[in-house]
Amino acid sequence: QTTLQGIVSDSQGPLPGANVIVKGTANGTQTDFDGKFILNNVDQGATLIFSYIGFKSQEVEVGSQANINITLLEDSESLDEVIVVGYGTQKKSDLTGAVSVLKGKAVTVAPTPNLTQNLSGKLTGVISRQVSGNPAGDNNNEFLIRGQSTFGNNSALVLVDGIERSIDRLDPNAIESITILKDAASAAIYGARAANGVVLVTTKRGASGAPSVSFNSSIGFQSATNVPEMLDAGQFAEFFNEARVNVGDDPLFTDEQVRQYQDGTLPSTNWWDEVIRKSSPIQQYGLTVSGGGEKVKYFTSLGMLDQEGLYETSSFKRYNVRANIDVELTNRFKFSIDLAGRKENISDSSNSPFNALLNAQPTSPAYVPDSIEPGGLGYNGVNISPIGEAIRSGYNRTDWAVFQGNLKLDYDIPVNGLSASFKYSYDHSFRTTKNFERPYTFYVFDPVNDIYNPFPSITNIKLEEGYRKPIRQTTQFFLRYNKDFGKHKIGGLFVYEQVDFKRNEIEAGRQGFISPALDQLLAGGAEGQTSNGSAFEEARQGYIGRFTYSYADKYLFQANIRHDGSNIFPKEGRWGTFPAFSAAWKISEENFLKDINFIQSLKIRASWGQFGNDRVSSFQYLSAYEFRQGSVIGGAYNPGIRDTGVPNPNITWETATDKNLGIDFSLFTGKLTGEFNVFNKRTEDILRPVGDVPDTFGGSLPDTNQAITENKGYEFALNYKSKIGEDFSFTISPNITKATNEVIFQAEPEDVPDRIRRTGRPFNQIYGYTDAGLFKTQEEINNWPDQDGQGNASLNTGDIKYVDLNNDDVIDGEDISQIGKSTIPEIIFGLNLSMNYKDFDFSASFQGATGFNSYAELGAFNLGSNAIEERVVNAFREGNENAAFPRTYFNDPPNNTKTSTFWMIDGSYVKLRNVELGYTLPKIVLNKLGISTCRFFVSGNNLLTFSKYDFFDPERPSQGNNNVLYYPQLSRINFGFNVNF
Amino acid sequence: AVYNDEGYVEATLFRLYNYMPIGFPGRGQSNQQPGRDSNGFTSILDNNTDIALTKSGWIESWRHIRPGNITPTNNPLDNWKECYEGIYLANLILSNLVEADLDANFKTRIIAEVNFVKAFQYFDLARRYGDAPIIREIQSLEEDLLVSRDPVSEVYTYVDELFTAAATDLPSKANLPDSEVGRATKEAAWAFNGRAQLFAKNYARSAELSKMVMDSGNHTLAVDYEALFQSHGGDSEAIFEVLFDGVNKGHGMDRIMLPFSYRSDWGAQCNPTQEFVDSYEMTNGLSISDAASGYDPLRPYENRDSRFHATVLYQGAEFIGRPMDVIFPDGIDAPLRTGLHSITGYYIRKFMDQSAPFGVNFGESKQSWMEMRLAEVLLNYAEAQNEAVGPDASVYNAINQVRNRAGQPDLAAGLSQSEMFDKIVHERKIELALEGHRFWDLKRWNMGVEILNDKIFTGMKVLSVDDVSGEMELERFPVDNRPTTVYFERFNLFPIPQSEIEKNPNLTQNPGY
Repeated sequence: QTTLQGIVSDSQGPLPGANVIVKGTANGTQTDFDGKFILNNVDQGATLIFSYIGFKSQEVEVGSQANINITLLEDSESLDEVIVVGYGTQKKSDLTGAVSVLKGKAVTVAPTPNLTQNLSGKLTGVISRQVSGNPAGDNNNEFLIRGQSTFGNNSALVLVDGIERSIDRLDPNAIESITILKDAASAAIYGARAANGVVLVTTKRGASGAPSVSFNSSIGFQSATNVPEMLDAGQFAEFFNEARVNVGDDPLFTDEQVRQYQDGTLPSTNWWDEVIRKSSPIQQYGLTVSGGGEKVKYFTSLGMLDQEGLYETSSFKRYNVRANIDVELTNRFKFSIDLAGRKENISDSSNSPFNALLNAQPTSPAYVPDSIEPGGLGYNGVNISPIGEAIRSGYNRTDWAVFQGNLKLDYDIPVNGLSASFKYSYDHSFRTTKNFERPYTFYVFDPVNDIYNPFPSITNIKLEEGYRKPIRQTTQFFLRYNKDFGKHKIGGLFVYEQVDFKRNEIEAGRQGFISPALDQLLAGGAEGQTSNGSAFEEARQGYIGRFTYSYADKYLFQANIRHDGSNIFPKEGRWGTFPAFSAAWKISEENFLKDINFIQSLKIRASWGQFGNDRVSSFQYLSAYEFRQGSVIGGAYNPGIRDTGVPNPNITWETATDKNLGIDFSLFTGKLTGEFNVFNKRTEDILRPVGDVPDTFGGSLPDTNQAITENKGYEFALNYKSKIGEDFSFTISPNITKATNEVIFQAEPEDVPDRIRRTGRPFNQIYGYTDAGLFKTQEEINNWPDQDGQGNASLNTGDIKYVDLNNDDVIDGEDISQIGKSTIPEIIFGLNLSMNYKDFDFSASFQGATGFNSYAELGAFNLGSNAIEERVVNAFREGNENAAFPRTYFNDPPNNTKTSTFWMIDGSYVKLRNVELGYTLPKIVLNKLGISTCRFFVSGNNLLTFSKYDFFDPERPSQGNNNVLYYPQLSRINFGFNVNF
Repeated sequence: AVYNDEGYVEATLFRLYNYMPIGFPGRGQSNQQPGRDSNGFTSILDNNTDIALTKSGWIESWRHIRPGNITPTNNPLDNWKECYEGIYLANLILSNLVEADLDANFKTRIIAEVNFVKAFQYFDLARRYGDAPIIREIQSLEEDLLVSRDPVSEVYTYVDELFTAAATDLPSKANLPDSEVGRATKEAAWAFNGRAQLFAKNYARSAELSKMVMDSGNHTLAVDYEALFQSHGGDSEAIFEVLFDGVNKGHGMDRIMLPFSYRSDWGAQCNPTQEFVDSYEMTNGLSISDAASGYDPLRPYENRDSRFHATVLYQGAEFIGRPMDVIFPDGIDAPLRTGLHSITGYYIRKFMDQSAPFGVNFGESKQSWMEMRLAEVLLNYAEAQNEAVGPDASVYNAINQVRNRAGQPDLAAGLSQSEMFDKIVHERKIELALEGHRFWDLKRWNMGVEILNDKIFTGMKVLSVDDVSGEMELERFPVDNRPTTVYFERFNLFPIPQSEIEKNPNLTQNPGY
């Protein structure tokens, strides 16, 4: 026996992570970061197998060699990585549908608490917007595949290891790959739930070989990306007076006070600084251990995330554990068991502080003098203390405990090419919520009597607790057939699937607590107790078939069909059949291209298929009753019930017909690869309320399958990788997706004028007035068509001027029309860079969006609240006639708050989503410590934003003036390391 | 199955009762009520009249109603859809009860209560829109849904039919156990019908109905006018009220309306006008403009009708343990001090729950909303009888009962019919202030243009108070920092919503829109 060593490389250089195993034994190892391996106890007559995903395996007889250097060849034009597709895997080169894949380091680079944040810009076809920075607030994130194609729920179906599970709460270290199925050819196999696209997440599994241990840890610092710049006390005093004078009130501050606020004699409070932390920590730890022998393989992982929010009560903690175990029972039977657990603690303040923050006047001190009460809270000058709201108003906590288990038995049937599997999954989670509202005291200064009056924020201490228990059971049976007949390759798959979902919920509340000291229901008062409970159940069945055929590895054909049933529809409309057909032609395999050296592969694909969307309100076919507000009779509350509306006995799926045409190519010995897709998805039978029944009917009308929409566009992705010299290698991958949608039909009253007709326009179209800037002179106002119903008597210079679209000399509801673009970006793009120089590695990911409008009506001084600096400083006033904003008001007048083009903003933006710089320690140092690799890194998320729209983060939800109430997005810098043993 | 279970049938009724009006704002999201004003900020309807102002730009009154921006596409007071929703629910319950296997007496009472709510919906449609389609039974989606408007007189006839049928089968107030307060009674059906027929100008019928309530003897005027509006239910003056428990169902009247220093972080949204304050008589029954009244302009709040002190908060008024300080400009509740302060110098005392904890939150207030009370019935009777017969002794008797409860002397004898009408107009304004009646009365009397159009109402700044004499230095000021009130005659009826006219070409629009 001898000890062998060597280096495994590919055409680009050393190949880390390649498997080396002695054939027929469990003796094996993996190459390190430099592609090196050392293998002990090898018999001279043994054969080594070198393998790596995407490369052809090679066998080498050891003989007398002590040093084996080998170069692995990329498997079939480097495209032949095996990727996860619906109910199976396929070689990438055999794909006939439109699929995006993210795997390996790209998943874990620059770690974010929610995985979807990390996908923005990295995958074509995915539109992901992070609309809030709330820790664990991933539910707020938009995650769309190829834009919107229906009115209701547009979110993609997310499956983790084949089961519907949350992607965001996974430990990224346990993820092997993420596959996005975009067209019908790839997604229709998920039938009635696939029309919005499907995301398949696959967790890692063990490989034979010595245990591989990897530990990583990072600590980060987070801060809000873009906090609105508010007026300081000097500006506030000056412009607040101006606003009051503008509406005919007296100034509030004396000239002397204004001067003192401006020269700093009187203090100014920056409330955001008082409430929002400059920096809040985040820690992430991950440990994975994997390996295995010939018969048993394992992958285990432990993960932990500890994220603090922008203020003390806001935080998120997550613990993940996983064990994926594969056992070869006999030659023909294989058994797998995956067990995963997760625990989460999400915490926030009982009241959001953001409303109180935006209202807060900078002239009010945050705290009262110590002589009143040390640490005593001042108020925001309007209604409450933002500090109190953030940290003293109680808490709102959600705890999740989640168990997820898969069992799988594979049977290699003793008939050539035939195999079967049985899979059962059981997911069980417990969610408890607890919302405790408690009072705090704040002080209002009374200048007449020179005293501080204490105010309680609320008087009634309230506690609400809830408990929810969802259980999902999935049973699947697979039968597969794969066989080659000369140049003909045939594959078949049949799956039966059954899903049961149940959820029970119970809630209780008490109020009238004597003291906030005991936050338990038992301490609450008897009066005003509440309790509530509910249950929900859903079941589905599906029969799935797939047939693949290829000839000479050149002509590929695939057909899918799924017959799906769901109890949310009536018996007659419960079953739907969703077919898809696709074909591909590997042109590069043809003789006439074989000799062209720079083309490694070229494939064109075409697909047609249908899939469904059942994400609509359940049971609309039943005549049902629901509990609604009741009446207090004789002092006691009696619940009310009402019917849920007229049932629609004919309700059924929304069906989308999808066409996709694509090209995949690999050029210049694989240096340049790319793919291009054009798509067109027509969704029919979309459930919409009946639009033309008069309200005199009185009942709530059911949705009917009626609307038709079209969503079309293209995607383009390139990947260029190359080397300069021996030490420098880099990859550049840009991508762009364009998706536009249009309502082809929806029930509208026949007489609806074209200007407000919804048909023919995108979803989320905004309707409003068209502005013509601001009135600059009184003469202009006098000569302008009547826009306030009073001959413009209520208007003043500096008010918004609206266009009389129908030229009837009156500006009224008939001048409202479609304005601007939709609020969903039409174009999103990404640019991903990665570089390696010696022991350094660097990667960066930019992402942007354009072709959409944001709506932001910025008010000034409503009820005396503070205002955004830009809005007020750049308001119309004498000497600033070319202002960007209307004159200042104390309570904005109706004229200036109408929905109009005036407040519409081009929402385009570009963000530096992720960036990471790493350094791998030289081998020599580590070997002595028994460490195979050690890498240090610094990474960042959301570090740069470029946008015309600089009041807020451009991803903030588009609404009226209240849009500023959201939790600001976070930027983050992480420092960390990973070690492998 | 729902309709064969008494508990469930009652639950459908308790849902239906939500279609009765509530004049309080701030009912909150967990207390969903039907109606366009479910955010509650237009609920104090009298904020749109001469007696009180609201002040924030985000409230419908200043935004839309006062500037006269009521159009077929923009009407915060539109209730068309909600009324027909209530009618649909009522018809649905009625049609299901026909076959229901339930105790006959139980069924009879439920049907009567459903008809009571349904009748109110038609009354509401008639007073808002005039002519309105009558949907007697539930429609099926297959039949012709493009209904036409029935003449308003027929709507009122139908209202009379429904209320009369309901009154026959409803229990009398005398037989209503305390545990059922909040449900409709015979007296309530008569009283609402009396109000409806007054709006319909069917004076004789109206007087007859109100008299039935008065003669029943089952309701008496409350002794304490101020306490009446803080009742949590069950006062003998209340004929129909919507009750709250402040937990499952509550409102935000206190949080929204209290003066700043008593914790209104929404800006005390109901500010009585100086015009309203001036219209309160002196305790001797004379108007302040009468030289013999003894009115002292330097001590304007002394010797006034007791209902003034019970309705309005003014400089020096004792309120929840301390006197109000509205001295301009620095008094803690001084007018215009901040956006949360009054714009007239006055706040409201009426409805403020002085027993509630300080800082009571939205959805926690639980004063009951008395949509119908005996004082209104007396005044409805006086008006209807005066129109039908003239100012006979019964008219005097009815109005004087209301005046005497407040401590005001009897009206002078010998008034002409039109002089009596003027007295009734005054008495309704004072007695029923802020309960929404002024809003509807001005419309039905066609007084809107005269009293509201092109008006800027005034407030009062108290600049100082002499500690010894109590004399005040006062400055009356126009509230011209808010839009001028605009009222066109067409507003007497609201427009039919444009979307409805687009869907149903058989609906005609009201004149002027």
